[in-house]
Amino acid sequence: MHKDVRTTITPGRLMALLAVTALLLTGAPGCGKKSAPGDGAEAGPVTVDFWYSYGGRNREVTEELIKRFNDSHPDITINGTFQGDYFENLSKVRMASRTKRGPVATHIIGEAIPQLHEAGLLEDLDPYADGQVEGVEKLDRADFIPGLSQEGYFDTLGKKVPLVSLPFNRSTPIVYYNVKMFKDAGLEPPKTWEELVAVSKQLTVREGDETKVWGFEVAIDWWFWYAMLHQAGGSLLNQTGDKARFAEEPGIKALDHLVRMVKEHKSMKHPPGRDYNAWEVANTDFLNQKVAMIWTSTAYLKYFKLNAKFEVGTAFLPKQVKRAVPTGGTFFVIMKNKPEAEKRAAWTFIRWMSEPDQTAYWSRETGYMPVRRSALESEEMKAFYKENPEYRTTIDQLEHSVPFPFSPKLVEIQRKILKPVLERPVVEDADVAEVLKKAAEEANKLLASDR
Amino acid sequence: MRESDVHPTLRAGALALLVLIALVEVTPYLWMVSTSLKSLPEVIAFPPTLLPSEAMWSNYAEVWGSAPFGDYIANSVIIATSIMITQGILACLAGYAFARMEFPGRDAMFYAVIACLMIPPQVRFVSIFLLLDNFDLLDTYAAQILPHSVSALGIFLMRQAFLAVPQEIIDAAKVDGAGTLRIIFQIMLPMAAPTLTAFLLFSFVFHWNDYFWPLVVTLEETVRPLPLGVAMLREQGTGSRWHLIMAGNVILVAPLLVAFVLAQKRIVKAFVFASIK
Repeated sequence: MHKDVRTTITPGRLMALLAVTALLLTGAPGCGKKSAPGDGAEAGPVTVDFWYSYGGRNREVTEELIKRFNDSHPDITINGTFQGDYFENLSKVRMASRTKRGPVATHIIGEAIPQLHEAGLLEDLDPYADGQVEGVEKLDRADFIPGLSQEGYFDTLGKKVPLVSLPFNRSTPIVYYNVKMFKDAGLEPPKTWEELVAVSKQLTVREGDETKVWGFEVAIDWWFWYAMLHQAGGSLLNQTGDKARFAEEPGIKALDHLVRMVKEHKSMKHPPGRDYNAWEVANTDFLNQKVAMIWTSTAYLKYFKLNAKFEVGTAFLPKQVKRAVPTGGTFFVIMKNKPEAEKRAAWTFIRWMSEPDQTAYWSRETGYMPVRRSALESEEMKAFYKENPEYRTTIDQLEHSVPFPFSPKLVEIQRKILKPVLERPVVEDADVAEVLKKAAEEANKLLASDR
Repeated sequence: MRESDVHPTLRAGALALLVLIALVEVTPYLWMVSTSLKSLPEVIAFPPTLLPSEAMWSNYAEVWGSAPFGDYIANSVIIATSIMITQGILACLAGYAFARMEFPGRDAMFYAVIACLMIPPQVRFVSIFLLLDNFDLLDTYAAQILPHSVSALGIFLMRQAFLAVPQEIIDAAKVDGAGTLRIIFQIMLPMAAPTLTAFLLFSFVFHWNDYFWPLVVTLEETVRPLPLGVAMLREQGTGSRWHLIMAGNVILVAPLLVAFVLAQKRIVKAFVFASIK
């Protein structure tokens, strides 16, 4: 009986069905559109795929700059596309590097650059910057603001590292405070950790069990803890980059300070949420005047200025044994496995983006820092800073910037080992020293592995 | 048991519980719609307002103008519909084979299909990505449709549904000279329709909302579906404009809601049937 069933499948009908299916799959309109990989032929403009991670307003600013570039460079077309957030883009870049597709240029968070460099994915930019590549002019490297360039962002741990990136959106954490609340209480932004505790206590307003206004709020997150680690005189790794040092006294003190402000003094609100969600909670509380002072990125400056119904003040982070502030943001990179002509065109683009006009425009529109001294000193920016002095805070603070170790394991230590556990002392009542000690053991294991 | 037999207190209690469940389900959507019509200061104001003081329809215009949303919707329709149709057809064919045909290795193959249910897509995406690249299929509709064109869940469900069809009916059809395809699509399928409808619905909704896969296999914007367009409304480091993000989300779910409303009767019937069996 079953044999009969099988023999009655008419091949013709089956084929028809499969054909329809195939049509559905491949015959759909718009199928197969793609830009052919450029072979560097001199005829016609060179198209450069540039991947970026911006949605929202930053995307609009980025697209505007791309448009200006394309309009002023008839021989180059920059094809900019959104590829998800920083980490989604990073994964895609890594994956695409194993194929013939993928971008020629993109921008990458600083912490991930050593890993990509170690994997051999990044083009060595020294020859371009030195003008040794045909048709490329020498770049004035000294014009980059020291704390913002690749050299300033990294401690190369005694190794020689070529130039593989140019700075794009660069930031530092700064203090934002509600000027009126501080004035009413007769207070100044705190200059030391001790003052931070005292000022926060004074600004906290409690009615019964309910806290009406918190003195201080910051996400218990890698970036802010890293600042305090260095303020307390510590460092992430040792000088050769093969051992973790963050579980020593300064690291413990840094985390413990925040934990005690939350649990003991009850003057700091711990914003809930993962990653940037916690940052956003702090932002919203600040705008709603539920908190007198927060730490967050200078990149939110424009957002606060547009949406706050009170005067927003900015200040340096406080110090402990010294002042210290990490920088953040992304760098442009060029992928190595691409045709020469495209790489040259990509260099023209990322160099153009760092030039005074563009970096100044970017800075004013976003709150990130301009990356060139000549941009800072331009008449335009001088006038701008005169009118908006709070935009200067992050730049003046750069004097105290501290680098990250140029270790291929840096991004993993940050993302996989430290970020997930820093909140544990607050959320789960875990012991600060225990948490860091365990993380340091994991980090040491990772640093010792060949991977 | 007729309705009138139920104690009034019990009825009222059940009703109250249902209302509560409905509220829990519906509130996030209402909140989304309300937020999408507020201005940013109102969105972040504390305490929050329930309804916008003034409906900002311009939020929708701003979202619509920020990227080619018309194209995204068209792409989403093409991709989700194609997946739904191919999954449906192939699930019927394979489900029939596993339920009603005898061939060597059938059970082993069926277990292999079941095993596929357990493997999350994230495990295989790198190899599929490289495979698609070798076939030069990245950045196409095919890259977004082909890897999903067969559904293990669909095959499993259709096999179970076909098993429930009495053999006599199939035998009778065969006596009358019906071929296998006719038996599957004209005789057995109507009896398994509730299962198929429920499956197709899940398939469509899942792939309509899918963010991960399209993000992986598209490098250009031309063939991207709606969820990627909506993701572009998210800010990174400049303060989220929640009113715009929510307007984008309304645009994302509105077609699904409209489809649900239009097909409501059929859907409810399908689920009732499916649960009775």
